[in-house]
Amino acid sequence: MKKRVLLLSAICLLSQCAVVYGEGEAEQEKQPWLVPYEETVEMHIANAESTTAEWAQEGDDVTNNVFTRAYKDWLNVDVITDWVSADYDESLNLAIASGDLPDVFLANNVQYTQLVEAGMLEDMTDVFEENLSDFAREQYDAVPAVVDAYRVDGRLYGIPTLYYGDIDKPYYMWLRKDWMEELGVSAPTTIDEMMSIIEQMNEKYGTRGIAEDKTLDNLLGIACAWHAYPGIWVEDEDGHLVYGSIQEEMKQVISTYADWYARGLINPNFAVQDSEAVKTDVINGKYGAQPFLQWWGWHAGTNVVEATGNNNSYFLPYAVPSVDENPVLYPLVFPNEKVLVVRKGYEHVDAAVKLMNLHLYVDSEAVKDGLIDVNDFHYYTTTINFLPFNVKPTMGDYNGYYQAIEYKKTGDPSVFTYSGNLDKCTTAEAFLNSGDTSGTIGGMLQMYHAQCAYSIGAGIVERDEFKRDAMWGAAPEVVNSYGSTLDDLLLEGFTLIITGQQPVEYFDTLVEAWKAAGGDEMTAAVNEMYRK
Amino acid sequence: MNRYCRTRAQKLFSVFNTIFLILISLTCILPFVHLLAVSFSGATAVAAGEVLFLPVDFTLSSYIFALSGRFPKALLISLGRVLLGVAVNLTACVLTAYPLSRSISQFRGRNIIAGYFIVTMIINGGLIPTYLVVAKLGLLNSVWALVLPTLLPVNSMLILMNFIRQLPDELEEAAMIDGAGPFRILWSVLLPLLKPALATIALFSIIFHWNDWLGGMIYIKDIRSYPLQTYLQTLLKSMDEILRTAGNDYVKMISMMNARTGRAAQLFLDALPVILIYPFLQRYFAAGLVIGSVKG
Amino acid sequence: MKRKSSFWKDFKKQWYYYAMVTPVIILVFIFSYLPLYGLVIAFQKYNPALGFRSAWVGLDNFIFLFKQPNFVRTIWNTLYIAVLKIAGGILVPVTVSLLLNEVRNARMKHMFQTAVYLPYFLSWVLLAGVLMDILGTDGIINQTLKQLGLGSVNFLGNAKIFPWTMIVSDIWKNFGFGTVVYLAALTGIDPGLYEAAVVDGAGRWKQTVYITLPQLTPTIVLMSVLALGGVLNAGFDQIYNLYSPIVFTTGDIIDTYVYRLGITQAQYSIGTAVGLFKSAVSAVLICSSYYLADRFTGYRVF
Repeated sequence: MKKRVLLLSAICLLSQCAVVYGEGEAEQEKQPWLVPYEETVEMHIANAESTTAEWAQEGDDVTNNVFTRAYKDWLNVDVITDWVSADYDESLNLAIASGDLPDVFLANNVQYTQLVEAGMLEDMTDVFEENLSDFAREQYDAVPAVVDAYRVDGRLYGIPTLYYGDIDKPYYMWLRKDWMEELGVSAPTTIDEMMSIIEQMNEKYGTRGIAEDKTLDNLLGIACAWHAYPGIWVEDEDGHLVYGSIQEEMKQVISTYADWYARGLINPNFAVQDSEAVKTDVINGKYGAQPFLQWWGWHAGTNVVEATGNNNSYFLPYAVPSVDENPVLYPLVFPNEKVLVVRKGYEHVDAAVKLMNLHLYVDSEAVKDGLIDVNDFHYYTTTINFLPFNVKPTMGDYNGYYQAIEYKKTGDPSVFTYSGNLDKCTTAEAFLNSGDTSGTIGGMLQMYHAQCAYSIGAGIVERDEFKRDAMWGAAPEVVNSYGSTLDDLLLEGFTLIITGQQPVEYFDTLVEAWKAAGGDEMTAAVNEMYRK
Repeated sequence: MNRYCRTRAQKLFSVFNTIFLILISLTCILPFVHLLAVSFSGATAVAAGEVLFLPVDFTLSSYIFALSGRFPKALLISLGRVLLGVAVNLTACVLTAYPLSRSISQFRGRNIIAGYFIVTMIINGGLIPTYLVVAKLGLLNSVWALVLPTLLPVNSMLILMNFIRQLPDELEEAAMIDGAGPFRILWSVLLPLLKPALATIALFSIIFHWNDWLGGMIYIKDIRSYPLQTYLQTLLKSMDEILRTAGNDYVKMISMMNARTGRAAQLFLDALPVILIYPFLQRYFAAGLVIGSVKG
Repeated sequence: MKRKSSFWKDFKKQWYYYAMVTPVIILVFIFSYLPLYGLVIAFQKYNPALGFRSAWVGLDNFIFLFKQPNFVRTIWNTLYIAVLKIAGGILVPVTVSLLLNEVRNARMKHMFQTAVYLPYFLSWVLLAGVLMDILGTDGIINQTLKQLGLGSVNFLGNAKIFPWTMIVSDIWKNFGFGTVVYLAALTGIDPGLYEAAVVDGAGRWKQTVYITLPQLTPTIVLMSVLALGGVLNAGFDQIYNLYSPIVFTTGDIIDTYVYRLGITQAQYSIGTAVGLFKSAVSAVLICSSYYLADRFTGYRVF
């Protein structure tokens, strides 16, 4: 009997040890890259100025903070910032021109192409394959098309830092809540219904229709309701790539807008007002409808509520109804803007990748693994964006939305990976429960409110109701060489048609002008580069 | 000037003149007053367009925001730069305007040298080439990069040259008879008489160096050494984005301000010193000619 | 003209003048002439990473620009707006400085002087907001016009009116600057001339026409010629902050167009090419105005 007990206990003990030992090993396995270098690695970087970060200690700034200390303590990499600029792109251009490059830095798409052409970057293909952490691997495996866009002859000279997520991209029609309630109307299901609501607002509240400014961004943002895709390249029936802004569907959209304008359903002064001026008018109650992105709450939101003194006067987002039975697809341009690159001649290319791993690790597991004290965590989250090694979590906002739902159910603040989202929710609660307007209602309208923007956006992401730009990568040089002048040409024409100074037929003349002014050249270049 | 017989016509003219000038002055002052009010007003009131000439929801937020952080250091840097810049500009202008004001028989190289400077007014190499020259000289990040590339404002130099030419020749002749050499003439005789022109040039120079944010952006690589305008410009560049992405504590600190109030505060921090200096320089404008040395 | 003495003989007498200008000549050479080498960028497809080794494309950049009909129209717009700005920018400060000069009360004069140069400090970014407010179809000015029964004017949204709005607001913003210069010049006029005129029985008006204006002419001519040198500038800051697509036909100037060309990437080649083009035109204008000034006023500006 005793022997058996002994054996049993021995086995139990042993298995416990195995468990403990296994755990430790599993942890090590999970983060095999998290091994400090034997010899301190020195790395010179450059950075953009940041004014909103919360620094943990006195004397901290963007060159010396919790992250730079983590780089040293966890990996033995000494990161020295050579310069910090307020206009990073310009300063980098100058640095490139004078041949004075930092070891590791962020380049935008144009600079990346120029540097690759000049042979000034290290080949990162192998390091990218071998040194990514599992978590980082996950991020990049989800978007292979984005990574491939940066391969030149099969080799990768930089690592894209990704982007915040498609959930941010759709435009909604924001309508004023208290007026909707007074009019007794609910979410519009057709475009006609939507315009009828706006007409009623005009009548009852003296508004001027849809709030829009001279860039026409808002109206162009909802053009997809008619299956028109201004600003991106789409495939036509023969598989050619054509520019969305000059297609037949666009003609219908502009003609509809012209009709609305004539009926007083669009800001009569839109052609000369910038977004600040329109925002002022929204705050002054001249509009009850504004097509906008998910961040409307930070735009006019809090000001509207404060100015009217009525906590119910904010706007709520509504999905724009489709013109027919096909679902609305929201246009997406190639989203990645910055690439992490290493200058040719710098030996520790893998260190750059490890620092990227570190950032993702901080964002996910570091607190759980005990490397960061939970009380200090928000110092990390408020500064994480300001260092070049940051990889933006593509699903970050999407996850944040579901975490907010979780939080509303359980009240448990630890569900959030990003403490900024917790702040949004607590501010939203203060507003809804006690009418506290000292904070901003941006977060509430984005992700907390039952009818928030993300509630619609999440569905769009899940059903993948997006139309991706056929030009999915860096633009060909010809396209860049025209800057925005060709789009401005169209904008000029659209404005003239909408305000009635030109008839709808002018659209065709406009398209011909666009083609002659360089549009044909651009189309040929895009087709050469991106047509399958 | 004729102080005596003031006819009725003259008195009438005086009245209309004064009224007209008052109206013009009002149009010049009112926007300023409006912006001053905006800088002290709360963000919502400003965004709603409620602010006219008096602050609404009075707050110091915008100024607190602008004055915090690196402001004091940047201010000192700017002051130093202005002093150095004005000294360099004045010296360069005087050293060139005087010889060039001579006629060609007095100074043979005059036309060529004048042309040499005027060409620089018309044509320049552009941002990157100038940057490369400054970089190669190792002047990046130093105040000399801000002061030397613009050392001779040709416009000012020509104004000064013009001014000198209009001085009566007898002055110089009198001095030469007294046995003075050209350096002496320049220093003792001419300079005092040039005060109005020098004050004008100094004013333009102060305004330029004080307001120049682009130079700082390009040539000063480290924000810690930014001159004031560059620093303020960066602070306010993406104000709206900052307000959106900042954490709660930060938002609360600057909750009463927005991009418009911030820029208005920036304007006043910008303009105040120059407004204060201008009256001081004004007394030099009234200097006028000293006739005594000629009549004797 | 026969030069009787040799260069070296003159030099020995005039060496001090040469000594004065030499330091400045050297420094100006370093910072203004050396960078001129960078003009080659106008003929290259400039890649900052390749620097001056970038590909040579000859006149391609210029051809690219001039092929664009919208670019060509900006040249006309620029000249139209700039010339009128220069004309007004001389007329108004001269007039105001003359009027200011007539003010007896030194304190009032001082106050007016301080007031008129204030707008010069306002940046166009700030002013744009104020102007859009005042000039808008519901703004103060239009409201006043409506009350006076004159109907409203679309200052910023009507392509025919827009250039004038730019010209007038620019003159308003900058006239204080010129006024300072002219006032300084006015104080330099010999009072003896006026005394002699009074003795001859001339009233204020005659004094102004026959003494003040002629005495001011050199300064006026100088300021005009200097302004002409910058004629192709026409005011980027102002127009950029106040224009919109609806007034592109008359309001789009060279600099705003080039700015939009370069929006997706720093267009150093195009920018330098445009700069070169503008310099060439300015050079022609300055030479012509120098010649005209000499012929008509007998005044040699330089």
